[in-house]
Amino acid sequence: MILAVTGGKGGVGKSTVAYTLGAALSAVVVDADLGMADLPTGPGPDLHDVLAGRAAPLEAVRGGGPVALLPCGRSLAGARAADLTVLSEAVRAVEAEFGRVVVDCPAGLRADAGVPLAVADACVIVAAPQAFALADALRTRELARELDAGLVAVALNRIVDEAPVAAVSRALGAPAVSIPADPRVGATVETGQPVTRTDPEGAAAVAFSGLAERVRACEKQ
Amino acid sequence: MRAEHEPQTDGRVRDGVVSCAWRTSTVGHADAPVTLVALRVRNDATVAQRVRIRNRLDGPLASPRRRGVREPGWTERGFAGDVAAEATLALGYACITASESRPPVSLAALGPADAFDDERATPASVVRTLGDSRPPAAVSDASGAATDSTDSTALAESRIAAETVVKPRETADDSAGLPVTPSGSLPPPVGAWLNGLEARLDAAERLDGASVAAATATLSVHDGIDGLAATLDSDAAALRAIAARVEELRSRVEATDPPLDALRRLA
Repeated sequence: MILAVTGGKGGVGKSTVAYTLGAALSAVVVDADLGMADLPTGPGPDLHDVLAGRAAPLEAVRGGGPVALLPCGRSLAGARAADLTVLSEAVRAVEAEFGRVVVDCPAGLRADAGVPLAVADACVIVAAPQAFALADALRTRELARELDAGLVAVALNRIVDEAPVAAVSRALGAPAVSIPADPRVGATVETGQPVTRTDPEGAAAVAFSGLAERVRACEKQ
Repeated sequence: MRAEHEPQTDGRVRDGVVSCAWRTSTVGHADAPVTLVALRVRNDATVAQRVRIRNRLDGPLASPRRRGVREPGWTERGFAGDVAAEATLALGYACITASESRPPVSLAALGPADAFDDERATPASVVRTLGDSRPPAAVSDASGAATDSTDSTALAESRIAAETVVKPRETADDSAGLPVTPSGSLPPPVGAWLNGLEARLDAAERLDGASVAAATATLSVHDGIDGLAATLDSDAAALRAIAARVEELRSRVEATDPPLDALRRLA
């Protein structure tokens, strides 16, 4: 199963949600934010190399940490040289080998956001709970619909007070899940440790487990 | 009346309710001719028809392309697509060959259009419709003028992306890994850090006298009021520490005078 984690706006915590959801689903997480990658990386071939034809997709998958990862390069030149039309087959190759893939998508509505949605079986939209952020979530929802990526749930991130769960759910046509604000979640990408592993009973981990359960339920259909 | 030696350059082919008027013209040199083929496909039926057009000229077909990807319906052999009810579809392509005195295409009416189940969006069609997302080549210009973001935080972040050309490293200690830069310019990691700091400063400055909507928008990207305040405090402390260290190193660099001539003689 290929799940795209998307969200029209930058800065909503999409990468953190993708990484933690990848941990909860035992999936390989692909950092497809070609121009602004931020999931952990290290020496070795990365997604820029795969999309430029320099490495096979499976060569770029890194195990050994809490989450299996196909990271992206950080250079401008790499982002320019990347052939997006190769991304679909790369993600499918990883799915064929590992079973589940979570794709961390870039912000925006251009081709780099669209190709992962086109290859995905389903998606999760990450949104900030503020009203102005919902316009972006709605546009992303429309794009996902055009590209046949069914919306599993909306993840409302960094919730402090009550989240407008019912209103968001009605507007976007899918369940809305609140993820409570938690500094350890914010630090996930830096530390590489998902909160589902470090504090599985905590409120944030429980929210992520609930989100993962919804994704698994869609798989069976 | 056409003279005998002049090639036929227009005509019409038909298949059932669908007909295709064609016109060819030849451009280029005699030793590298290109034939341009213009088609008008007419559907006389009261429902949309799926049609297939095959190139019959003896040469490679150059179809219309968008962003490097063939326009929908085109392949190296021709075109397949729908013509609306009682309507005309205009198409054109080029063929790397001299024109011939016979119809350049064959036409097949394949039946009502709604009987055909088109494929899901392909990566190529997504790239074509949604637009190029690659950073523009000019974005490494320090002024950032070439980026088209309307959000100055995203602008600062794309400047970070433009100036970060380092290989990924697992360790945080990269003092041995900083590249040597041409005199006067900042090493990319330093430039990137300073740009990030400047983006936060821009955000804080925007809050001064901003409307509620603008302030909320700014704060949401910077982890709220306390988040932004904390980051600015640590930015100020970091800048003070860096200023002190930079001043110390600068004096040492300017005072250092290794005996280069003597060393060269020994080498």
